Amino acid sequence: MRIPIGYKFIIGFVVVVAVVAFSPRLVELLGYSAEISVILGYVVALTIGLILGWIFSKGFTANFGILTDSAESISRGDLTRDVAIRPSAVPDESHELAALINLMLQNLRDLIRHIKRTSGQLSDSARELSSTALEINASTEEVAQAIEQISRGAETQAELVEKGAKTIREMAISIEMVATRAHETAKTARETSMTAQHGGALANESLERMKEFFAAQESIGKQFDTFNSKLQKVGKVADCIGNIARQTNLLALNASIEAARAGEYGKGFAVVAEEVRKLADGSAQSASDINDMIETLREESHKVLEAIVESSRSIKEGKKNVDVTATAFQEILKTVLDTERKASSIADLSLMQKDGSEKMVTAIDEIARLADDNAASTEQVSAATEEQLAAMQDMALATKELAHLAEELMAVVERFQVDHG
Amino acid sequence: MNNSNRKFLVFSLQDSLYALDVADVAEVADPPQMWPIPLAPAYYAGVLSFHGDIVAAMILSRFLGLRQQHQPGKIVVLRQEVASLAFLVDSIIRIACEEEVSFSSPPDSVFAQSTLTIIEGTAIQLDLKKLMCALENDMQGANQGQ
Repeated sequence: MRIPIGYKFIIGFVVVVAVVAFSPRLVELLGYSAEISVILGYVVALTIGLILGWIFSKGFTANFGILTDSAESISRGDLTRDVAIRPSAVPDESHELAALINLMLQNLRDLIRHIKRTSGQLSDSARELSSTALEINASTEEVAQAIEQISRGAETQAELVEKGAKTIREMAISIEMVATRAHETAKTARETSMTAQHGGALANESLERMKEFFAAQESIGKQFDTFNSKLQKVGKVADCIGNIARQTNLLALNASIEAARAGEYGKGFAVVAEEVRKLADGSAQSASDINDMIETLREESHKVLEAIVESSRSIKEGKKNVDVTATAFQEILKTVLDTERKASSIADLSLMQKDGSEKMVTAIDEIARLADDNAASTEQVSAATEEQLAAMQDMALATKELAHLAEELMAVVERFQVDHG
Repeated sequence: MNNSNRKFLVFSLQDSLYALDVADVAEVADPPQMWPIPLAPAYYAGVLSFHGDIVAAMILSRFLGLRQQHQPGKIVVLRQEVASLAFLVDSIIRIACEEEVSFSSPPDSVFAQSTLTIIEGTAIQLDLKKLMCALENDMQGANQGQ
């Protein structure tokens, strides 16, 4: 049963007052004189009152002493010991206070432990943060240097891109010229192709003519052979005539000889024989003339044939050349067609290149603009990096301070003992 | 025979013209097949058959000592009464009448009877008698040699 201290004081006071009030009567029961009894009553009442008062006060103050000691040790930072108050059948506020202090101690211990652990972690984290900040600082410096280089590079890039743009514009003009030239080349190749086709047709026509000529020449050769064989036959006939004339001549001579032998009677016969001989001579002469003419004709025809053969040889050589020319024209035609195709392809490709170069010019202009922007942005980044570097340095300092503060906190918290030993 | 009707057979031997009296000539012909005469002088080409008669053929140019250039083209057969002899000559020119011939003295030759001048040039008329004598002398000389 809980009795508040106030009630306990009242009860004690009532007990003391009752003892003091009843002690004279008890003393009177001893039978002493009145005066002694009065004095003794007073003395007994006083003594009993003091003893009871001491007992009651001691009972009241003992718990407070313990509480005071605990508060003192807590104030020193010793949180190891709980407040140990003797248990009472009738607890009062001191017991509640002790229980609350113990609860507070427990909470404080938990808090201190938590603070210690947290401050240790904080210290470690601050140290790590500090080293990380230093590393970041170093990295940021490197980044700053890199960005500085990038910034310089970006300027150079911008210049180069400008030069590149100029070169590509010039190249675009060149490509346009190439396209024009390729177009012209294709046109020329087409014209050449037509000329080559015409040349090839002419060469083929010449070949056809030559074939006709050779056929005609062969025919002429056959005709010459026929002519010569006929001439030979004529010659044989002429020889025959010549032979007959010779024989006739001989006969005429012999007739003349016979006539001469006949003397005057043979005169007329001699005249006839002479006429026959003259005719035979004429025939022989004609046959000889025919033979001469045949020979002349044969020689002439031979010369003509030789001339024709020679011409045909020359023409054969010419035919070879015309063959070569025709083949060359074919080759030229093939090559020119190929050239035309390639030139057309070049023209088409050049047009595509022209479009591409125009796009490239646009793109390179865009790149140039972007490069300028990049250069500007890089400068901004560089400045930002400088600021970041300064901030990181500040942060490094701050983390150092934080570590220092964590250490100080640790030192402060270390004063509190939460565990035994 | 009447001399005013004399005719001459003109023929050629090498580059020279020779002539014979037509009265001594039997026939002119192309050289027929001939058979050689054994042991005969070199100027004999052989023997031939003249209408069944055996006639000796003589290479006249060789006999006269001329350089033989051509093959004989004709044969002149003498009349049987004169001799069984034929002359191989180069060619027959023609028969010349006496009217168209001018005679002159013969050159310094053994068998020349006279020199005839005709349109074609000068022809030596051969003296057949002297020629025959020479042949006979040759034959006799040859027989004596044997």
